[in-house]
Amino acid sequence: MTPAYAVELRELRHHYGDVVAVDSVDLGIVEGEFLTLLGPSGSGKSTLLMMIAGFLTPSAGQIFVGGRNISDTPPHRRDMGMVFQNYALFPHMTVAANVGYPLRMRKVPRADVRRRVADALDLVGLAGMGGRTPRQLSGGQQQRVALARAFVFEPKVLLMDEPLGALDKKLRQQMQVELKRIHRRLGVTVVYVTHDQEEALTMSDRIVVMRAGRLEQVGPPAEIYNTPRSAFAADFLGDSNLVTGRCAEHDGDLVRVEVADGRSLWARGFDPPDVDAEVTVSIRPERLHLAAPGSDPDALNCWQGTVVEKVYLGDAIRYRVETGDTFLLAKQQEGGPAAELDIGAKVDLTWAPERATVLAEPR
Amino acid sequence: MSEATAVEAPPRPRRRIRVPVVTLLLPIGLLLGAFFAYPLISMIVTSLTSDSGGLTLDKYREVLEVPTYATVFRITFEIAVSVTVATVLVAYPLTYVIVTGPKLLGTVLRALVIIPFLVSLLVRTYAWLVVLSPEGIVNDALESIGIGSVQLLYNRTGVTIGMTYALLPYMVFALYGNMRSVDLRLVQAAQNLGASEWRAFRTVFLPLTFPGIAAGSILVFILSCGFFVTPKLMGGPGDVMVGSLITTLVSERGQVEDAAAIGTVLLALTVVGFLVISRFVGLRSLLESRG
Repeated sequence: MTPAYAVELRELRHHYGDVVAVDSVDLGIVEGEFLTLLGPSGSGKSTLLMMIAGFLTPSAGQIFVGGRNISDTPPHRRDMGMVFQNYALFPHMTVAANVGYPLRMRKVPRADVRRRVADALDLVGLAGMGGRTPRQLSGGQQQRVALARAFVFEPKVLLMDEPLGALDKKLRQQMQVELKRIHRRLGVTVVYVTHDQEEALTMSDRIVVMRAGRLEQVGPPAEIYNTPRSAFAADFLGDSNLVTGRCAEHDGDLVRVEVADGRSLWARGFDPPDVDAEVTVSIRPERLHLAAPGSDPDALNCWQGTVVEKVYLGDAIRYRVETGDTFLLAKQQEGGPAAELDIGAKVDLTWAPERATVLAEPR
Repeated sequence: MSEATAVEAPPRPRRRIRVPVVTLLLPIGLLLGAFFAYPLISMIVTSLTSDSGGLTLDKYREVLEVPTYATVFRITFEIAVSVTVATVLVAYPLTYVIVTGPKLLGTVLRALVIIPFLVSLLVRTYAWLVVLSPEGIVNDALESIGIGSVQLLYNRTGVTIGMTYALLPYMVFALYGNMRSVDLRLVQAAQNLGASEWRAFRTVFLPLTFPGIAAGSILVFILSCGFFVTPKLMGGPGDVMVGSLITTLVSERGQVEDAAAIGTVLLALTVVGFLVISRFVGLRSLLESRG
């Protein structure tokens, strides 16, 4: 029977003294999937990765790879390729020797080593660079060498610890595309650690949002972005307007929420809260539309407000609108109908109810 | 009011006191000139002066021709080599534990290396005489495990033990700086890629510490060549090193010119040795910042 998961974590825990870094994590990683552990520093994502790699011994729980418990297997027998944040290239070896290192450790015949190193360097776009030393390469090139070295021995799992953290933005975006291409090509299971939400959204099949050693939310990027379960997830992935109120009534999966200043709004609630329960609603700034007062009388959600701040973002304009007791951020497309509003302008804020999400956990 | 003054007052440029670089270097220049350069030059000049006051290479010919002198140079070389090897063998694992082991243990070991360093070499040498004597604790221990008493003093073993101990801190310091600069994540990376702990050490950590081993060896070797207290107190009649020879020539026989020639030869050999080794191991890598 083939195991359900390529990697499975069961009640994995790790604490440094009294400080719990990873708290009872259960997670199944599907074969061939690109899974991202996303969280702020201190959320336990790197600790989790280090336990999977075998550099940290779990305080409790087990790790299964291909159905086999590897919790007590030393790192060098785990057969996982890892790309470190600082690349960890061996400075005393050439690029080819670096990439060939895992093959030599596996006693691969020399001719095969040469061929596979050349293939791997070719795949990462560094054909013919084998004779250089890591020092002679740029940051992006070193990154590619580290990547080639991590997959050249065809490991079951590729682990990456913020591999693009040291690169500038342009190069990072380019490498994101590269990484996805190589992932598709190799079909290898990837566990990727980052604190960069954009990176997570771009590359992942599934994202695991981590907070204080626990899994906050697990799901495909669009699901987490559109239906965050908690204020933390909503805020960590992209910007979010969080509005707190009281659940007034249900209509299918739509919920009417009454806000303190007497107004109300409709939002989607997947686990419909009880009537009268306190709830928090997340509305993405780009889901809010600004229009002239009274221009859309049929809108289910329509709050009057005043523009108090305007920030030009290049491809969009972000307005801060005072409405009732609160301020909401609204991102409007540059060149669109709401691009020319001035500070002090009276506007109607409208949004589709299914674009606002009642969070499962109130703030 | 005070606000207005604050706005009006321009930032006052800090007056820089301009001192010529030469002035700043004067104290160290004088010190080195008087106590290092002058004696060195006068030694070389003395070694080249004939009894009648003219220029001569006679003393150097003598150094090469007198068999005793050649023997002393050979003994010095042998002792320096074995002391260098011994300090590497002791200092490497010790420094490895200091750098990679538990923090507290590292601190304690570091203190144990440094503290004796603050005590006079003479005192430490006498301490060794007690420890290694036939009635000392080392021989007591050897006897109790059935090996029996071993002659540890007044022979090559005694000199090697004493000098290795005396020079150990230098090797530890050289290795410490080097090992600290090795990124231990490289060792983790090696393990991740399939190297056992030992192979990761041998293929990654050890090669990256070669510059430290080389630097420490050069330092210890050069210092060994000039030792004379330890070989005199702990060695036998056959363990005369160049340092002892020079002392004897100057203070007991008054052959200052011979001593000067021997000293100059020792200096030349040391410099040549240094240049050769540094050419092979590329000491530059020690000075370069790690990238």
